[in-house]
Amino acid sequence: MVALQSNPSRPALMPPQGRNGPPRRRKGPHLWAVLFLIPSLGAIALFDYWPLLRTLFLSMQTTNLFGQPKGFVGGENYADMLSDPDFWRTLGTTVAFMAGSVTGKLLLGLAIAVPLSSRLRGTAIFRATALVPMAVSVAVAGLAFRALMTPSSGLFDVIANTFGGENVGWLTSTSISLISVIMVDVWTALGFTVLLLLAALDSIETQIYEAAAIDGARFWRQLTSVTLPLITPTLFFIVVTQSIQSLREFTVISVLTGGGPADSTKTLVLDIYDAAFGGTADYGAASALSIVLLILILALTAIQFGVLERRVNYK
Amino acid sequence: MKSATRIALLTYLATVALVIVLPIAYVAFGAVRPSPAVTGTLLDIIPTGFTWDHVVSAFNRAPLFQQILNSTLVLIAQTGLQVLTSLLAAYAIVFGRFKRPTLILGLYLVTMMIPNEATVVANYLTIRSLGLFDTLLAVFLPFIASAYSIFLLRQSFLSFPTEIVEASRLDGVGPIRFLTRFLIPLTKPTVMAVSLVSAIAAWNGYLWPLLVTESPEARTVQVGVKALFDEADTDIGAGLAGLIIVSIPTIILVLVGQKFLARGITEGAVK
Repeated sequence: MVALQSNPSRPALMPPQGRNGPPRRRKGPHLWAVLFLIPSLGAIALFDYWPLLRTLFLSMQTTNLFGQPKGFVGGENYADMLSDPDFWRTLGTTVAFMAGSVTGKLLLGLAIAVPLSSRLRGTAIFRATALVPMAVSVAVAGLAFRALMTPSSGLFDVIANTFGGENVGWLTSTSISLISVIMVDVWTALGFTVLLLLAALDSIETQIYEAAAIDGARFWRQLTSVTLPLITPTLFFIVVTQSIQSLREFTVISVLTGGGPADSTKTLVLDIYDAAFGGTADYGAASALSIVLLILILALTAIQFGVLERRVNYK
Repeated sequence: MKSATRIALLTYLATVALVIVLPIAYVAFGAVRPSPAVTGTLLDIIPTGFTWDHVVSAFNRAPLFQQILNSTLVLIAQTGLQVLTSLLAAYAIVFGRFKRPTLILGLYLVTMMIPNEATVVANYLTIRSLGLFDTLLAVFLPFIASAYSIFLLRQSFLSFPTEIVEASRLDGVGPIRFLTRFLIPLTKPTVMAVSLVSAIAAWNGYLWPLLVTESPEARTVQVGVKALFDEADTDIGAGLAGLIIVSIPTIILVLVGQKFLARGITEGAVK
C-alpha cells in the first residue's frame, strides 16, 4: 500500500481511507431498509402482538356483548375454568386428538414414503398420489369424509354392511367419533408428511444401503438401524410441527362433528369458538382458554426441542 | 429385487394410492352421477353416468359465483400484499445494514409461536372496532405479513452472491431496482414457492373468514361450501358438486406448481 501511494503515476486501486478521502460510509441502517420494514412490522404489531396483549388483558376481565371490558376480575375467569370438569374433559380430548393424530401421521407417512423411496420401476406414478390431499382444502376434505361417513348410505357404512357389519356410527357414536376425526386429520396432512419424508429418504446415499445389505441386514433391520436414525431430523420436525398443528386444528373437527356428539370431539379451539361465538359472547372465558392454548403450544415446543433434540442425529 | 417382492410392493402401493384418492374420487363421481348422486351401494366408488344437474343445482342453491369472486379477490390481495411485504422485509433484513439483523428477524419469527387460534377473539374485536366486519378487507387484512415467507426469502437472499451486491451498488443501482432487477429474478424459485403456499392458504382459509363475514354474499368459498353442504342435506349431489367446484383452483395450483410447493415445504424444514 505504501509503495502504491508513493507512485503518483498509478491511480490507487482502492479509494483512500481517512480524512482526505470521501466521507466515511455512514454507520447505521439504510433509511430505505427501515421504511421497507414498516408494512410487515405494522401488520404483525396490529394482528399478532396487540391481540396477544389484549387476550391476556381480556382474560382478566368480564366483558359485555361487544367485548368491551366491564371490570377487572383478576383470576376469576381462570378459577372458573379450572374448577369446571368440562374444561378438563376438553383438555383430555385435545391431548388424545393430538397424540392420535401425530402418531397416525408419522406411521402412515412412513408406510407410504419408505416403499416409494425404493425408486423401484413403476413407483414414480404413486408419488403423485401423495399430492392429492394437498390439492383440496381441509374444509373440503372434511366435508368429503362427512359424506363418506354418513350413516348407512355413506360408503364407509356400505362397506361395513357388505362385510356383514352394523352401521359404525363414525360421527354419531361417542366412542368412535374421535377416532374418525383423527383419521381425517391424518389424511389431510399426508401430502405434507410424505413429501417431507421422501425428501429426507431420497437424500440417503444408496451406498449405505448396499453396505447394510452386504452385512446381511434384512428390510426390517435396515429400516430400524439405518433408515430411521438417518432421517430423525425430519421425524423430529414432523412431530413438532404436527403436534402444534393438531393442537390448533379447528376446521376438521368443526366441519365433521362441530365438537359433538355430546362434546366427544370438543377440543380447546372448539371450546374457544363456542365461548366467544356460540351465543354467550363470553370473551373473558374465551380469552382465558386462549391463554391455555398458547401456553400448551409454547410448552410443547420447548419440551420437544429440549428432550428430542439430544437424540436427533443432525448431520 | 425378486419379482414376487416387486409385485407385492407395487400391489401395496396401488392399494394405498387408491385409498388416498378414494374420498376425492367418491365426491367427483357423485357430483356428476345422475340422481341419486349417492346410491348407498358399492357402485358409489365407480363413475356411473354423467350429468351437470348437481353443478347447476349447486349454483342455484348458493351464491357460489359471488363467493368464488370473493375468494379470488382475497387470494390476489392476500398473496400479492404478503409477498410484497415479505420481499421488502427480507430484503431490508439482509441488505439493510442493520446492526442486529437477526434480532429483527426474531420479531417476526416469534409470531410463528403465537397461534392464530389463540388470538382470534381479540382480532375479531379489532376488526369489529375498525368497522370492517362482513367485508372482504377483514378477511385478508391480518395476513398481509407472514413470518414464514420472510424467513424463507431471507434464507435465499443470504446466499445471494455478494459480488453482484457490491457491483450493483457501485453502479449506483437503487434499492428498489436492485430488488426487482436482480434479487427477485435470481431467487425466483423461492419467490414462487412462497407465493404458491400463500395463494393456497388464502383460498383455503376457513376459521377466520367464518368469523368476520356474515352475509352469504360476503362469504368466501370454503365457508360458503360448508353452508351449501349443510343445507343441501336432501340434495347431496349439489353439496358434492360444490366441493369439486371450489377445489378446482387449488387442484390446478398444486398440479402446476408441485415442484415449487415441494421446495417451499422442504426448505422450511431443512433450514
